[in-house]
Order: sequence, then structure tokens, then C-alpha cells
Amino acid sequence: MKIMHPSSKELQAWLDGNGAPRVDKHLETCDRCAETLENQVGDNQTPTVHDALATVLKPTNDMTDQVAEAVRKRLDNREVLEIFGGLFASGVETTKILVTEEGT
Amino acid sequence: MEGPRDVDAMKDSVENQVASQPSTDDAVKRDPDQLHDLVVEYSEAVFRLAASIVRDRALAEDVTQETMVKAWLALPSFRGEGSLRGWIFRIAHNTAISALRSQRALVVDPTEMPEPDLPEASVEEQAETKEAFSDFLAELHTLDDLSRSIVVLREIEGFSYQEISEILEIPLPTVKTRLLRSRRRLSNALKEWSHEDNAS
Ligand SMILES: [Zn+2]
Repeated sequence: MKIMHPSSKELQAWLDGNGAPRVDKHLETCDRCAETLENQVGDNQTPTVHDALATVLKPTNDMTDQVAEAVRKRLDNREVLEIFGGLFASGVETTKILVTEEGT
Repeated sequence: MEGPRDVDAMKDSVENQVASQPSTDDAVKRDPDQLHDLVVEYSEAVFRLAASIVRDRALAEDVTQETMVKAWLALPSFRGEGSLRGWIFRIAHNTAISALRSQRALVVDPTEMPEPDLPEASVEEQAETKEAFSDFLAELHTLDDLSRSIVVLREIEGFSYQEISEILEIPLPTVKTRLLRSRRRLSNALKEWSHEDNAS
């Protein structure tokens, strides 16, 4: 079966955000059209886009410290739970042994 | 942006640790310094990706925290296939998508798009920055979740197309085409603003 690639006009419309769903779907997997688009617009990293993204997505200055603290706390709580879990499990085992021994 | 040498050093340190830590149960008892290193090395980058996906700074911080806990606990199972950095970003992406889905289930109006807050600054600075980036933010918000992740992973974190394809588990042409379109749209939004700025 012959694959129908979108025309350059359709690709341009897709780039401008007006692409047909068929084109959208096609571009998910078509290497040839990806290359055509790359040739059409060029694959250059844009410093302005990088800078703008870095600005709007910048975390607060103390975020790393806050995350470190919160993660540490969560892991400590987990450790405590594991220790209690272990004690509880051994308690259950002891009870089982006692019950079984008493029962026999 | 992280230097590749720092990432390599972290990877070596963590990989040595992985080799000496056979069980996930021991994860919480490992060296606290290494946990701190992991958080310092990756949390800002994870936050940027999370914020681009969930578009809410408080939620992005929760996602960052959750990602760090998951990464630390799962570290012993990291087999060194691919980069540690890519592996952590995959956890971050999946965690952010789950958080976004839970949040969407609560949001009554799905078209409502919360604008991310701008970084710590004075009220005047915030107002100026907000104005300068309002078109950019609006355009960023109109991109689909996947495109936003792609553009952040490429433009900010500098991952290759192949790495992005593996992190997001999508075909390579999807990475390329969405990146080209997103970059063009975001770049146009900035151009429009700088034209207005020059005109005024
Ligand atoms: Zn094609």
C-alpha cells in the first residue's frame, strides 16, 4: 500500500497549529516527514526559548533544601514504620507459635 | 544547567552505591549524604519538567519530592541500562502525569489552565516579568502535555532525541516533529513580545 505523506502546505498548517488530525497522527511515526519538517524550519536550539523557559519554570531558591528535608522525613517515617512492622510481624509469629503450642 | 561531569560523578557515586546495596528494604538506611547529593543534583531539573506538565508550582514541588523518594527507593533496581539521569526523568514524567490526572479528576472546568507563578522577586519585578512572558506562557499553555515535556527535556535539559524518545516512551518522529512545532510557536510568541517592546 502506498503511504500518503502530507503536502508541504499541510505540513506548514500543522506547524502553525492548524493541522488536520490525519496529519497529526501521521507525524507521530513518519521519519520522512520529520526530516522534511526539519529541513523546512531548521533544527536550531533557540537561546530565547531556553531563557524564557528557564525563567518561567525556575524553582524558588530554597526549593532544593525543602525537598531534601521533606524526603529525609518521609524516608525516616518509612524506616520507623518498617521497624514497627518488623516488631509487629515478630509479635504475630510469637503469638502463632504460642497458640499452636498451647493448642497441641 | 548541569554539567556532564557532575552528572557522571553522581552516576559513578550512585552506581557504586547500587552495587553495594542489594535490597530495596535497605534503601532508607543508606548513606544520607548520598540521598542529599541525589536531591541537590536532580531536584531543580525534575521541578522544571514537573512544573511544565502540571502547571502548578505547589503540585510540581510535590511531584519533585515524590520522584526523589521513588528514585531513592528504586535505586538498587537501577541496572545501568541507559543513563541514571534519563531514568530519574522517566520516574519524574510518570509521577507528574499521574499527579496531573488526579488533579484533572478534581478540576470541574478542564479548559482552566492555572498560570505558573513567577520566581521569587519583588512585586514590581514580578509584574514586569509577567508582562514580558505572558504571551510566552499563554503559548506554552496551549501546547499539549507531551509537547511541553519534549521542549523542556530538549531546550533546558539538553537530552538527545533518542533519550527523549526513551524517557517519554514515544516514537522518535513524534519527538522531532512536536519539538519543531513547539519551538516555532514559543519562539514566535517571544518575537511578538519583543516587537511590541521595540515599538513602545
Ligand atoms: Zn510522512
